Amino acid sequence: MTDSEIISLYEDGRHEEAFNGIVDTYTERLYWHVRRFLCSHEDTNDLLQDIFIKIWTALSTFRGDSRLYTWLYRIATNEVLNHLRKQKIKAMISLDSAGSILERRIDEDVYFNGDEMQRELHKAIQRLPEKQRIVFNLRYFDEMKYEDISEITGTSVGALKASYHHAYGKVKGDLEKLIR
Amino acid sequence: MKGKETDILNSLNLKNMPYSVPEGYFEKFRSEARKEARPRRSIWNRFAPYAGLAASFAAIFAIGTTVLERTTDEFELSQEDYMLFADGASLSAIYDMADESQFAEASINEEDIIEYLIYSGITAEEVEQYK
Repeated sequence: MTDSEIISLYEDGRHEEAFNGIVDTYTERLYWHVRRFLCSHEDTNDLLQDIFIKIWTALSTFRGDSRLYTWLYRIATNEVLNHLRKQKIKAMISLDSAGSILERRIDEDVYFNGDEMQRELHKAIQRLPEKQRIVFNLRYFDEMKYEDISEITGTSVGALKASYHHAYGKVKGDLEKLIR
Repeated sequence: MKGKETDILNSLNLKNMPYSVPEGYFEKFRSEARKEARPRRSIWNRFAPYAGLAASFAAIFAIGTTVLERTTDEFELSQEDYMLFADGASLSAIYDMADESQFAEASINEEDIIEYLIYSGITAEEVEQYK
């Protein structure tokens, strides 16, 4: 189902059908978006449920100022960031770093089927600062336009380009160290 | 171009998703998420009759109070009524309620007071002493 079909269903008062359209179209995309940040399937599953509840309750506030897909990604990204901040606080209490917890999760994840280089790539991404991690994931994996990332994050295109440049350099550097 | 070719992030197939999900996960998730829209609507459906009943009682109470207020005559108690129902009140309260002129009109002389005191049990000697 396309975004415009979903929106027209909602505008016709068929809210449940519109929501079902979002669920059908976006479950997988949002899942992988969240999973890249949280690594663990269980955490992703829990957060994805919260995200869809948020989407359902916030659907009436969607005014069409932004496109539906960037609006959905914005909700998902905000939820991810809130979750990561809570994790960071927990990590501080346990005298651990949030990054190292996430790296450990990659090692322990039974649903990780990648090779060693992919494992190191995802660990390197977890070491990036929050904003760089967002822009790197959306640009590198989803190949999203900077304009769309800007709508999702509320950051200017110029700042995003700079963040991606830094993130790309760091990740590349980390991987190159491994093959030397 | 040469730089891009040697770029590790481009040369290796790193963009593939290395994570997987349990079998049938997305189908199960979608059907659960679709249900999410229904319980929220049915919660209101379930409580709507009770909410309607509560609203009806509130309306009846409000209308009844208004009708009673408008149809009942207010009555005023006379001074005598107050005095009649003043058994429980203190002596000074009764005095406060009474018109002072009522006391002024009653002519009480010295003989009446002495008579009252002797009637109350005070001896004539004691009356004489404080006179």
